[in-house]
Parts: sequence; C-alpha cells; structure tokens
Amino acid sequence: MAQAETIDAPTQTSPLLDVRGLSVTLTREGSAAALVDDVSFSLAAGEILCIVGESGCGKTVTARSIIGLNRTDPRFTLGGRIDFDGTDLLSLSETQMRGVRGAKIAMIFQDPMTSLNPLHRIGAQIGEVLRNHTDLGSRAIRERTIELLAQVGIPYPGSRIDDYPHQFSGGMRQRAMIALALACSPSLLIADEPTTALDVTTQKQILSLIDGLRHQYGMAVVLITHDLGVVAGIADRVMVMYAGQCVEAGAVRDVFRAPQHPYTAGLLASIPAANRVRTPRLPSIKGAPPVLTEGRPAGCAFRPRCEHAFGACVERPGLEGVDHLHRCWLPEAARAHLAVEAGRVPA
Amino acid sequence: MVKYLFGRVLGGVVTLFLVTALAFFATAFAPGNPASVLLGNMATPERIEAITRQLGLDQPLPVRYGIWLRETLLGNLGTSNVSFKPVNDLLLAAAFPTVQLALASLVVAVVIAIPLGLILAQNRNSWWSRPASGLITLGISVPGFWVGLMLIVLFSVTLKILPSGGYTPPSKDLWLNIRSLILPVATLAIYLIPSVVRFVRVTAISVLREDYVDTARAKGTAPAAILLRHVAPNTLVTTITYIGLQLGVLISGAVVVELIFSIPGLGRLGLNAVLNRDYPVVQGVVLLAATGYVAVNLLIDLAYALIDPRVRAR
Ligand SMILES: Nc1ncnc2c1ncn2[C@@H]1O[C@H](COP(=O)(O)OP(=O)(O)OP(=O)(O)O)[C@@H](O)[C@H]1O
Ligand SMILES: [Mg+2]
Repeated sequence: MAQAETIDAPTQTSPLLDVRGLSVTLTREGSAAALVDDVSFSLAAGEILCIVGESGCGKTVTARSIIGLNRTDPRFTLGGRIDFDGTDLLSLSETQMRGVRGAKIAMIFQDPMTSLNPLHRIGAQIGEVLRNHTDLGSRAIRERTIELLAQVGIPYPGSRIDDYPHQFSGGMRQRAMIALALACSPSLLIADEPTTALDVTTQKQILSLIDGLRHQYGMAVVLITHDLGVVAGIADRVMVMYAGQCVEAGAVRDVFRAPQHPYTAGLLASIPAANRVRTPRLPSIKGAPPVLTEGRPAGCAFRPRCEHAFGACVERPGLEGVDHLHRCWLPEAARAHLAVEAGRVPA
Repeated sequence: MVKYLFGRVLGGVVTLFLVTALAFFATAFAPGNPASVLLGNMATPERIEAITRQLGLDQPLPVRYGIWLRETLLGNLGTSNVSFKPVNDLLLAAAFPTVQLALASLVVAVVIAIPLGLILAQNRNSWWSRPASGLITLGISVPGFWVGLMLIVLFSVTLKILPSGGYTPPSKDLWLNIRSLILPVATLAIYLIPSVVRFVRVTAISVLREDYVDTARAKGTAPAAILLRHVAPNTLVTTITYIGLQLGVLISGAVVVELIFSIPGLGRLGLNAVLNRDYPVVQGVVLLAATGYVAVNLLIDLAYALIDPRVRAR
C-alpha cells in the first residue's frame, strides 16, 4: 500500500512542463543556424514562467517549438526533450500533436489585429477549437463560447459573438484570443508578448485577466515579455535568454535578488523600477546581441559585451545549478557581487 | 454596403459614358469615308454625296453624337451600313456564342485553376512543387492560339471526334452545340489557367504565412481544414479582383478563339465591321463589350462584398 502511494505521489511534484536541452536549427540554402541552443527550464502546474531577453534571442522560436508550430517546417530541426505531462512532445507524431494543440496547450500571439481570421465571425473562430477537441453540438458550442466571452470580459457576449474581428478593438480581440485559448481548459497557455501591440491601460487589464484566469483554471503560463516589471509582478519563475541560449533560470525571487549572470544583472540594472536601489544613472548593456542566423561568438556568447569576461570565457560555459540555473564561468564570489551591479543591493 | 455598391454602380455608368464617347469619336475621326467604301467601284461624287446625306454624315460632329447618344439610350443602335440589318439584331445574334464561349471558359478555368493553385501552395515544400510551378510558367509563355491549333490537329484531324470549327446554336441542337464548343472552350480555358494558377499559388503562400493561420494550427485544426476554411476564402478575396482584371484578356482571347474556330460571335462581327468601315456595327460591338465588362465588374464587387465582411461594413 505504502509503495503504491509513493508511486502516485510524483504527479504532484514532477513539473508539468520540463524542457531539457532544447535546440532548434534553421537550415536555409545549405547553411545551418542554431536559433535555440541548449535551453532548459521547467514549470509546475499553475505557475507562470516568464521568458525575457533582447529582441532576436529566440524567445518566440522557443515558444513555437513547445506547441509545435515549427515542427512540420522542413527548414527547422528540433532536438532535446520537451516533456509535457509525462510525454516527450518531440516524440509525438504530428497527428498526435494536433490533439494536444488547442486542447492541452494553447497559444496567444503578439498582434491581436492579425491573429484572427478577418472573414469569420468571432464565435465561429472560438467554436472551431471546441469542434476540434470536443463532441459538443452546435448549440452547446455556442453556449460555451458565450460563457467564454463573458469570462474574458467582453460586454454583451450574446450579440458580440456574431461580430467580425474588425468590429472589435485591439484589446477586445486579444480578449477573444484568450477566450479561444481557454476554450478546452488547457493546462498550459503560451502567451508571446500578448500586450506589446496594445496601449498601456489595456496592457495591464489583459495581464491581470491572464493572471486571474490561470488561478481559476489552474493553468500554467509561459509568458514572453520585455517588461521586467511584469516579471516581478506576476511571474513565479523566469528564464533569461541570450543568443538562443538559456543563460539563467529560476524562481523570480532568487533571480531578482541574486542574479548569477552578468547579462541578467545588466537587464535588471536597466529597469527604472521604484523598488530598485537608486543609482545615479540608468545603465544599459552596451553593444548589440548577435544575429542568430549569422552564427554566434565562440565560447560564451555574451563575452564580447561582458565587462567581467576573462580567460575562461573562450570556452563555452555549461548550464550549472539545480533550482537556480546559470551559464557563466565567473567564480561564486564574483557572481554574488552581480546583485550590487544590478542595483538590487546597496553598494 | 449600400453606399459601397452605389459608388460602384456610379463608377460603372461613368465608365460606360466615356467608352461610348470614345467609340463614337474614334470611328468619326477614322480615315476613309463609309459612303465610298459602301459604293466600292460604283462610286461617283453625286452618289457619295447622296449616301453621305442619307447616313447623316454631313451633320456637324456634336450634333451627330447627340443624335447617336439619344438613339442609343432608347435602345436603337441604327442599321448596318453594309447589310442594312438593324445593329440590335446583329449584336444579339453574335453576342450569344461569345457569351457562351467566354462564360464557359471562365468557369472551367476558375474551377480548375483555384484548387490547383491552392494545392501547389499547400505542398510548396514538396519535391514536385518546383517542377509543377515551372510547367505552369511554361504554360504562360505558350501563345493561346497554338494550343487551339494543336487541339484541332489532335481531336478533329487525327482522332476525328470533334468538329474543327463552326457553331451550332443550342436552340437548334444542344448536343451539337456542346460538341462545337468543347475545343474552343478548352483552348480559351488553357490560355487563362496558368496565370490564374500562378496568382492563386503566390497569394495562398502569403496567406499561409498570416498569423491567423498560426492561430488555426494552434487550435489543432488539420491542414486540409485550414486550407479550406482559412486559406481558400482569404485567397479568393484577392483572386476575384485579379480575375476582374483578366476580363480584358478573356475578351481578346475570345476574339482570337472565335477566329480560329470560325464562331460567328462578337469578335468576328466587330472585325468584319472594322474592315468594312461599318461604323454603326463597330460602335455597337464596342458598346456591348464595354457594358459586359462593366456589368461583370459590378458582379465581382458584389461577390467581394459577400465574401469580405470588412467591405460590407463600408
Ligand atoms: N521562420 C524563420 N525564418 C528565418 N529566421 C527566423 C525564423 N524565425 C526566427 N528566425 C530568426 O531566429 C532568431 C530568433 O527569433 P525570435 O523570433 O525567436 O526572437 P525573439 O526573441 O522572439 O525576438 P522579439 O523579442 O523581437 O520577438 C532571429 O534572428 C530571427 O531572425
Ligand atoms: Mg518574439
């Protein structure tokens, strides 16, 4: 008896999503470029993980790989493992993966103005996902769709369900996208910069909507954002990406209090947050990240921009640590000092 | 929607008016006196003057235009200078084969070209996509009448299963009518298909890159359903406009095909009228062709509004 219980127990503690050594290679005209290289992170049910990093560092490619939007594109090669709910998604066939998309993993995109089909009614577009994954009849689908629209805060959902996308504002379209994503109660929602295209007040509303719904649905969220303030506000975990690699990952509290990578420290130093220890100027990381389709620097990819680079950095660092992962050759004492640079601790 | 359609109808009427003016003045300024053409070697100065007066050609131009426009609006296009038959009757008799040929060819071309373009776009990454697209480009560069001649050689001369030309009206014998149109329709459709396939393929490939296609894939919708439900309608919206722009090609193609297959249509009527300086007939043919063009474009605008809710909202 006791044996059986311990076997059941791991479903509670093992993560919902466990990405191990994910790599994505783009092959074009004979040349191959690693867009994502050795990315690892994990996420428990109901948690929010934020992926942060400068533009072009592979955040979107990582997100699309999880839900498998690029797996049928012959130019992309995916490697590593994406364990979701105990199965490696990369080992599934495309038909099996289609059963996962929309049902267990849903995704919303950056631009709500283009992510809905302009020729179909909002209700039909939400109904499509229910038709794909449930046996509901058309009346039940309509009722569920109205309920979903109400949940995401669309006024008069009973009549707005028959509107076309052009009759919705940007914020309402993103709400409709969220309703569409929630339709089959997925256990994971991937949101790729869902508020970048919206105005500031709408941004806040959409984020708090996502945060509220994940509690209600017990849904884990992978949220891609440029805004470290948002990370501090709603995330449980954070992964920092640089040049297609995960350079640091862990609980938000740990990463913000004690960043272990100079790049993370640089990002933290550049937020103008009120709760940050004041420094005379707002520093930013000098230089620009490599263009991944043209290759990345040998050794540590961040070395050309790093003020702490030393001899060891010509070798490629591995991802170290257990709960708080980092990819840096600096000795522990030097890494401990990064918090000061980041403005998290008074000098 | 009403405002949108009203604007389109108004635009069509203005176009028609301009075309009538153009048709009238172009024939009025054309060199050569119809009266002398009509009389041939029986022409004497007196006879020419008499005929000129009889045809009303001695009046000042604006007056002639005014009379012509009034008669045209009343539905009277005059009589032929050559056969002395009413132009209305001549047009009516010639329009039927042309409309039958053009419509049948357009339908056949669209029904074949749109699915073909969509399938090529869907399979843009497979090994046969490149050679197939190459074949289509080859199709575009083959002149339309060459295909017609080859079809005649194959089906009428060698296999002797279809007539090489001529036209039987459906009122006389429907089966013979269909048989007489198979080769002309095939010729004209084959002429139209490659460019439509290429347009649909390119458009559908760009539609496949749209964000809402990613949304559909993220819903777990199967590729075939994505193609039918999301890609095809959005491709159709632009393709309809393209087909509207191809109407001129369709009309000129129909003229060539009528000549190859000796079909007594508008093309042949117009060409003979030009050669005989039979201006009332020329004007009638131009007017009818322009009206057809404007009418089809209006139908296209209507179809556009039916597919795209954003247009309906205007
Ligand atoms: N389909 C593709 N074809 C070619 N290159 C691609 C493709 N998708 C991504 N890339 C390249 O991969 C790199 C990473 O892109 P990605 O979109 O993941 O960046 P990102 O971190 O999401 O940036 P942003 O913050 O701007 O959204 C970029 O250099 C991009 O040009
Ligand atoms: Mg991105």
